[in-house]
Amino acid sequence: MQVNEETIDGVLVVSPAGRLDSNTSPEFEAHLFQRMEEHPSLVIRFGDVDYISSAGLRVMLMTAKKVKQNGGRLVLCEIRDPIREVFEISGFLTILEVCDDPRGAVERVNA
Amino acid sequence: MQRAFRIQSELREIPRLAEQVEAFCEEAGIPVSSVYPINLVLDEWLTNLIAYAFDDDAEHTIEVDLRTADDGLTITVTDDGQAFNPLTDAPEAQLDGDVDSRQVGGLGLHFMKTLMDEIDYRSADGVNRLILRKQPV
Repeated sequence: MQVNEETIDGVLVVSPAGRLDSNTSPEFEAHLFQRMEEHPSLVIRFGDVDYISSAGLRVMLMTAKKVKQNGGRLVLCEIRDPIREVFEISGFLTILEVCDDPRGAVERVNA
Repeated sequence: MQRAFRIQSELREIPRLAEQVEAFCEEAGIPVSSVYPINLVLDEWLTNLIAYAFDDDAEHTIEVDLRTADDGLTITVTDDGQAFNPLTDAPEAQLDGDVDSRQVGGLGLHFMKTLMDEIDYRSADGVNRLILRKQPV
């Protein structure tokens, strides 16, 4: 799994690419937790994720919990089918903040 | 159409199997929209098996059999680990609550129950079989 990053209007946008499963999720979680030490708020872009399982969703939940503890904001974006369906049946679309595109997500973080 | 795949009890086998399952589905004329749910449910079950079913250091092989017929797809997963009936041995996943209270446990089995039409589990003589059925879309 590859992780790309960019900063938009001072907000770190993290874009994992490929599969977020039981093989890759521990590494992705460690990466996010390291980034959260310097960035209390984060945007995660799912446009390049082909596949997510409950292992990947677990990372999103752990990240959301940590961001909340840190007083920051987590916004997810570009969650399209079939990934979106997995978020949906997990009930995650109602508990996590989700936006269509990275720019909108950054605006929410900076609001 | 029928095909059997064998994997070692290692997580890294799962993406490799997913590619083979995708190829099988394409050949069998299973709609593309069904491939993700099939691979997701297989991944969740195999990840659980690999993490919890084998408590010795021996190598274990898990067999995944796919079979299509007019009434849909049947997936049979056979293992020789500790028995675990997904229908009776696991608590229901907690799907409500906010970020603070929400736990992620049980989601894999929730996917199985949501995305498959029938689930059957049999365990006898040290051999466990999970049988999943998905009707044609």
